[in-house]
Amino acid sequence: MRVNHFLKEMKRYLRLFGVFAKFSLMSQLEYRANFVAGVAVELGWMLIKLIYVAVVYRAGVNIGILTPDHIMLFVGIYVMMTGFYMFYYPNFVSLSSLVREGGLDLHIVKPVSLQFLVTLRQLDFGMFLADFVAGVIMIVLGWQRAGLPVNFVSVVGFIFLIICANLLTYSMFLIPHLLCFWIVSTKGVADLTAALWDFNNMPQLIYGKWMQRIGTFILPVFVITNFPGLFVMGELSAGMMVWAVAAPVLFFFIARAVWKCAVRNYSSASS
Amino acid sequence: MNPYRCVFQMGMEKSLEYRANFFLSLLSTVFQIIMQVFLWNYLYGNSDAGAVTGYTYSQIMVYTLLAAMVSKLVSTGFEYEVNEDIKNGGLNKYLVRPVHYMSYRYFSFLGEKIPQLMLLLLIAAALVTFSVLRLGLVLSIGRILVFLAALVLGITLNFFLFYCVALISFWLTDVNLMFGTVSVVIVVISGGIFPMDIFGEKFAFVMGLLPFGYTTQFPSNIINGRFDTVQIATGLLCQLFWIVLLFFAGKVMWKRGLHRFAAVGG
Repeated sequence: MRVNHFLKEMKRYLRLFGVFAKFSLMSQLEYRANFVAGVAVELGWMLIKLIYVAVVYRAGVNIGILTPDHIMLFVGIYVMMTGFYMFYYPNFVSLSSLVREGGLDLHIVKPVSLQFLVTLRQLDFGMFLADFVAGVIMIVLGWQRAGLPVNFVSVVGFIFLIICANLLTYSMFLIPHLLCFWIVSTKGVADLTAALWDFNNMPQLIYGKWMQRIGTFILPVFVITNFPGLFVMGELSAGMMVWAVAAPVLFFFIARAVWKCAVRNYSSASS
Repeated sequence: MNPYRCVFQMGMEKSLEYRANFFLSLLSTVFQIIMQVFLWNYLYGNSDAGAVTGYTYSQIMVYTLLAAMVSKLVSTGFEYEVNEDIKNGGLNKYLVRPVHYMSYRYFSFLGEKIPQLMLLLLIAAALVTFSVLRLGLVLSIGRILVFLAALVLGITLNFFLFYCVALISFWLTDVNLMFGTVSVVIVVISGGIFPMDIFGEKFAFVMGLLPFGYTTQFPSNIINGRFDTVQIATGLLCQLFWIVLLFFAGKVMWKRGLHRFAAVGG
């Protein structure tokens, strides 16, 4: 009975998500210049990501067990994950104005999960597409050039870990934006988290031991882009595999708890 | 009172008002620096990276520590305002006043840069001291003075570069949507992330013919001791050359654009 109910709800939310996507796409096709601008901005930032790969290829050295081809795969994952993140990122940014100006009132009264509605309503296809396409190309190139196995286990495992990584990204990077329920300007917080995200521009292996530990267990940014790649290489230990699944779940529940606490704290902006 | 002095002061006040913004943008620079320090440490520790890049370890480290800041320092932001002025007719209020728009923008920009420059010089001084003590950087007063001169020229050069980019708004009103991309690309090819001459001689040659490297890469490479006197002198001349060229390009664009503006605006 409960399972049935869960599945029904799940279906409803998926359908809603589809509707959000449709409306976002329609509005972006209406304002095409903005759509093109989104693509262009992401292409610009991608240049920075790619130049790191160029430096590694130029130096032509392995970083630990990673050849430049592996690094291309890792940066490809990073680019693709950036695309997924940017897909719903506009919602995180507009959260603070919703709270400040009381626009949240309108959403609270609707018969769906408030968090779902507020954090996944507007989707940016321009930024998503640019990163997704480039990321996939780099992943395929890196995978092939590094001679990594293409079989059912590696591909399905890779996709599964990417899904886990998406849940982790969403949860982990939502938390700092929730601070807007308590403080007025979150631009600084947003900038800092963005900078944290950029640490993934290089595989975790270049960082020191302690930084790797912090980035894996305390602020698990490295889990997002390194674990899928390490898995394909057969370098992800069983313990880490468990953490790859546990971390997203854990952080999702933390984000959920912070969200509930934040909404309880919300007192509309109007008098 | 000289109108441009007022504009200069207004620019300074504006920049002091938005100081939190600037601090935060510096903080994200720190993260970029950390990542690059790790990368170079690894590459120089585990391979003969110096032979590939042409930079010694201490040169590349000093570059990494300084270039990101120089890049922040020369960066502009007025292009959005210029676009706004052209698009929404705000330009009219400058046309009826006895000021030159280009000079107005330049002094306002310079004013904004002064407080940032003060702060960054303090940080840079700390970093350079660290480099002298820990990385074995050899430095002379002359080199520091030339660096400062090149920095001011770099700021000026970047101003004229972006002034020309901004004036494209006369022809394409929605060009502001592209400014973000343009500035990221220019930061990269100016050497704001990595020095461009590590990608080989041919590439370095082409970059030497373009104005971009003279805004960031050239000043940073003066401090790390990569250039000899002749190279520094040539670089300074190139900076001046591009400033003059872009100054006149800006003048021509302004003149032509204004015709269009007068024809379109009502």
